[in-house]
Amino acid sequence: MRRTTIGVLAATLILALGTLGSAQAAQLQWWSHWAVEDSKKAVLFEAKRRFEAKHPGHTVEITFYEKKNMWPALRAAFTAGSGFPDVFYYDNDVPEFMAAGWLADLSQGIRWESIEPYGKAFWTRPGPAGKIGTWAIPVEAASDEVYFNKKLFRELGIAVPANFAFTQDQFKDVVAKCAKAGYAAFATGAADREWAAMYIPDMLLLSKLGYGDVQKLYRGDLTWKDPRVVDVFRYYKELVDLGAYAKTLTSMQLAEAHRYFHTEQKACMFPVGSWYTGRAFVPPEKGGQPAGFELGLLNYPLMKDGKGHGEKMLGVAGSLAVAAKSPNLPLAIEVANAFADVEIGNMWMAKTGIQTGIKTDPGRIDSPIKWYFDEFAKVNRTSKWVDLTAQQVKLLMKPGVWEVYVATVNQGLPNRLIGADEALAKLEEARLKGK
Amino acid sequence: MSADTASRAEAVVRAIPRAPARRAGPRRPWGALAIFLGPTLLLYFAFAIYPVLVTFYNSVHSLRMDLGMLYEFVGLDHFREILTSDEVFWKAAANSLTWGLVAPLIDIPLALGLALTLHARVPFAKVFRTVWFTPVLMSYPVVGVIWLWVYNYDWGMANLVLRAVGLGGYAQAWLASPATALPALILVTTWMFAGFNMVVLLAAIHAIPADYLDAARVDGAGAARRILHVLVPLLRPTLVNLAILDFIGKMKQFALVWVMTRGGPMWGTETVATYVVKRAFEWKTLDLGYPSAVAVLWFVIIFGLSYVFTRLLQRREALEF
Repeated sequence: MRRTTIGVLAATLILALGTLGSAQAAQLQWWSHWAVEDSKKAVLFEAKRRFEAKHPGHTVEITFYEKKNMWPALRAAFTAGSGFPDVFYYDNDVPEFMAAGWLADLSQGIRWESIEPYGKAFWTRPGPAGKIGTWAIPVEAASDEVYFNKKLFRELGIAVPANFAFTQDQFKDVVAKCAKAGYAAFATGAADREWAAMYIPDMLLLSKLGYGDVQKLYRGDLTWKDPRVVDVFRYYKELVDLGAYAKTLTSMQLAEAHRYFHTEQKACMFPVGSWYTGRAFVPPEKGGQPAGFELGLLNYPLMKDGKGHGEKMLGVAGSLAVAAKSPNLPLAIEVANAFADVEIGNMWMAKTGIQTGIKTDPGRIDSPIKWYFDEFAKVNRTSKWVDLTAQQVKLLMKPGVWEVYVATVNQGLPNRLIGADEALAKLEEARLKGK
Repeated sequence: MSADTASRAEAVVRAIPRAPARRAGPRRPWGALAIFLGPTLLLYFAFAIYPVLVTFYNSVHSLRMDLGMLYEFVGLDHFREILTSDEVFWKAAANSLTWGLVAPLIDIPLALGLALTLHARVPFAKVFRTVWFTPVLMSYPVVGVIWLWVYNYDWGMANLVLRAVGLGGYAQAWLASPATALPALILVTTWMFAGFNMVVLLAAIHAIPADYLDAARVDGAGAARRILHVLVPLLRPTLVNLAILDFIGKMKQFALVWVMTRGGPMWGTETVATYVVKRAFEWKTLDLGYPSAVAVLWFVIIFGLSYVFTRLLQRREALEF
């Protein structure tokens, strides 16, 4: 009897310890964009590996999405209060997540000394009920660039100026030459990105108004009827009418736009974030640019009497956030913290060729795409970086104005559905009504 | 009245058998009813009634998630704004209404034509029935992606066919202009649901006694007259029900638009359903009050129009075969 009792007690103890052990071992869920970008995934898997090595027994499962499909899933899960991941990709597309209180405040628990100050500052914003917090780790930083096909430029007799920036008239000639030869000037696909066709008008506005006034314009403090803005829109409409965009603009997706530019070579230029490299610098069979493709970079066109010549947009892009209501919050913050490491920053740069908000040690970066870093540095040696990108414009605009900006600048103007004045009238009306 | 008459009347009354005293019916098994119906009613209340009530409640409140889900009573302000100054709502309403009215006019005659074709026992009828019905089995996202390919400017089937037959000048980016985008989407739903309507109509045709058609044939009616003057009147209840269901379905159209155009270009395919979702979850305000008001208003409009159409189109007399 006594033996039996001892046996039962021992079995109970073993069972209890087992249960305790399994309760302590957590499997964290991580949802990430970049499903088709192997170079970025390599860095993510390295951060996961480091976290798991540092926290034995705990594991992380990464589920990859295209972010267009991830946002609705996240919205639904957070609204329902269940089914959301512990850690997830985050960027400027959904600024409302911060205000809704769905993101954990990361001001504590992260090695911020390993993050660039501008990156931390970018995500330090008002959250729910105006409470200031730091809501994400700035993994990716990107500038808005105009890439071009050197071979096509050569064939069309287009010479790039020494400062890599065409004047307003020269740029119009470039667009005209491309269109006349049967190429689209810009390889833009707006089917799955509501800001894809905004790059050129945003660049022209920055060049004309300068950073200060362009911010005022987007915030609603400057009228869309400002003569300088009218000039930019009318000039942009001329480019569109010359045939700047492909007729597939509306049905072409971002991934297709990449192929359209570097594989099919049907467009002279590709205005896009410098995260271009994440998709392009992978093997061609995975959607990367073909070997031998001659990639070049340009600076923004110089608008007549512009106040923003030489200014260039740079901002935080793909980041990492933690769910405020994660049942594994301290561990989830540790996953994010795995990115706050110079070695991870170096690896990101070496693998992807994209800027990062993580601190790096350039002397220790060994990358097969060094030629790209050199080209980038050459073109941007005099660039004056301003904290803004085409994707970030949404952050500045009042509710309702962005939607009109999307309809007019991402759809109406490039598809030649409306004129410059009509677009400006709609934007001004939205500005005045904006809440 | 004489005494004789009175006594006879009494006799008659006595002769009438008295109705038995009302007996209490069998006791209802309330316990079993609660067990079997309770969970279903609970689920129905939780997932159908409660959300509807909350939507009505939200429609007269401002409810901003970014302000900590604070409710603020605003009365009919949302409705006033929708009706007086929300241009996008009116565009979305016009698109939805166009879709709701045009689609049944195309879908139902087409389905009737297909059903009659099968009824006529054309060769390979079974194959045709399967082929025509298959699109109904596909989900909107799958159909949306397929038709995005069909409408692609460079290599889509629509433009390839036009170019192949020498009409390349008409090739265009079908989803890039408000003038063609909405008709293009209407065509997709027609393709998708023609098979379903066809099957329903085919069943209804089979239910009509052959005597009627035989009698018409004996009277010398040709095929066209037999269809127009015999079949169609007898199918009227089915046709009306299909048309009203089609109308309601198109007025609520969301998934196909979301996959193919997200309401663009320039709100050219915006429907009320997509607008509600955008206002609720894509605007930076995260205000659930205003989109709830749009949803309530649209519910009332659909309900009212469906009622009016039913009253106008349904005949009161029952048809018996």
